[in-house]
Amino acid sequence: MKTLAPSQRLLLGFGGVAVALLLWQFVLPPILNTRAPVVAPFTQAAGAAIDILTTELLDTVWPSILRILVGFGISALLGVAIGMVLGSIPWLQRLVRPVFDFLRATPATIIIPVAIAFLGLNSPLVIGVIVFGSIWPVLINTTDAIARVEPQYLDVARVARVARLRTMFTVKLPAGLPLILPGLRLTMQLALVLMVTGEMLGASSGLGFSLVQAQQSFDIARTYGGIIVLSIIGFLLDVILVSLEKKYVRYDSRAGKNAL
Amino acid sequence: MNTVPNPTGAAQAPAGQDLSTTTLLTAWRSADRRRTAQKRKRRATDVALVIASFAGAAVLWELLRLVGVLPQQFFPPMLDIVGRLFTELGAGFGGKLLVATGQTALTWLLAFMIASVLGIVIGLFVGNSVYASATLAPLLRFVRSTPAVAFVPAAILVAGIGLQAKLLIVVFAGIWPIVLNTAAGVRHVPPQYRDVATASRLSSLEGVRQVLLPTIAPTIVSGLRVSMSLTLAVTVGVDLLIGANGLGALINQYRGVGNITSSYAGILWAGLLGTLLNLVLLAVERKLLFWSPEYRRKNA
Repeated sequence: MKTLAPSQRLLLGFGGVAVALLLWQFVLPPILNTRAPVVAPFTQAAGAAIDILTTELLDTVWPSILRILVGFGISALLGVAIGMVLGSIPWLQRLVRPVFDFLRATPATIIIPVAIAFLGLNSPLVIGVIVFGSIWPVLINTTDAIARVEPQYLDVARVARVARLRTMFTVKLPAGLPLILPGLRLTMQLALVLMVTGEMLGASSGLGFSLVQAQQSFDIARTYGGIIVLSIIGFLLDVILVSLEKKYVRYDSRAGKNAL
Repeated sequence: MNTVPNPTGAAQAPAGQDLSTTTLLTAWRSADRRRTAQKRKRRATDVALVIASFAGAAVLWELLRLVGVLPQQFFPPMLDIVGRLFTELGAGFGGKLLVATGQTALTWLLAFMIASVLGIVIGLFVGNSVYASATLAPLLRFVRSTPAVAFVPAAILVAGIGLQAKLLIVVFAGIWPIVLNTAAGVRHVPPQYRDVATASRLSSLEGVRQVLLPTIAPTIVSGLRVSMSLTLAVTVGVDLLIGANGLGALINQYRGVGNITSSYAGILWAGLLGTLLNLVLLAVERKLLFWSPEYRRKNA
């Protein structure tokens, strides 16, 4: 298959974004705003987004960012740590795996109502829901990755008399990254969904809360501006994770293709 | 007759003695029988482990309640939860649980089907043409990192609080893993396969059907798996946020009136359904993809 020059790619990509924005600006509002205004044109939405990012940075944006970073951080660390333990102790893995598979298969958002009763509102709720709901992909992928490291790698480590703990961090963990990092990306996607849902249902600050408020007061520009802000946050987090994958998984060309 | 090396080690033939066909057959058969017995034994161990696993989790739950790590007013006894689930299910469609399940299942199934078809079509398009992929890549990358539930308020404005708004959001949540995996699959098809399709003078449609789709089926299925878990979570999420029906809303209602045992019964039920869906998709994968090298490597 032929490849395009970077300049061509850039141009085409820019064109794609431009066409989409023009459609949003000039085509969507006339089609949908027939009975009542329900879509804000791009310029209004972008204006509202800039407004949120500048005047409400501390009140609205920062709480959300803090929650997603803390929640996702706990999920990632705990998931990798538990996965490393389970991956190295086969009998323990076989024992807890059915329950963990069950918890992973449970739609994560369903715990929010009960979590409200237990954790109350705001940050404890949102962070708790993020951790409990999003930890499973990274946990299970890490378990599998550690348990299925190429036996030859382990033989080499044994011949070189590398201590077991060091083998874990210098051999097993790097060898497992092609599976662990895609799991981490799925964890991030779930964490974002859980953060927004949690804030919509049980918080009095944050982007999710302000989105619901905007819609209820028919502030249409803000309803769409909030989406743009959340897109930017999601995009930045995705960029970080993808660049991690590019950096550490370059020896496996199929990485990222089979997320999960 | 030549001396055949004993393939199974089952029949104890003295060295140098000819092996007749019948001894060979019996040896093979007994090896076969042993393999079946082993498989049966392994399956029995698996079942025992699943039971032990869930029993262990229930015991842990009770212990944590007794010690006070899980406050008793928020965490009812496990036996009560299981009992409540059976009562609710016993009520059939006269009860609330199955009705709510039906509503959620309908939303999810419709959305998952739309997302699958659209996702595969868009993925084929994006993966096949370098121009399409270069044009859409930056846009899609930005759009797909948006958490789908962020669209809930906008979808309510545009489509009201009915099924349509829910579908918009769930389809949006589920389509990206399928698009990305399909496109990546198309891009990684070995060029020789395309050459074979051209050489056998397949029309382009036949080429897609007989060469392309089977080759990329394993990657599409792993996209479907990711999409399934995302769409399930988002479906329950929009149940909670839009309109008062579905499983999520029911569990919220129960919690609102202080009936926390029924809330947990609903969560347990949702987990069982999610597990069931996972098993169905795995079975489909086994039926359709048993031949594919990727599937065999994964299950080696």
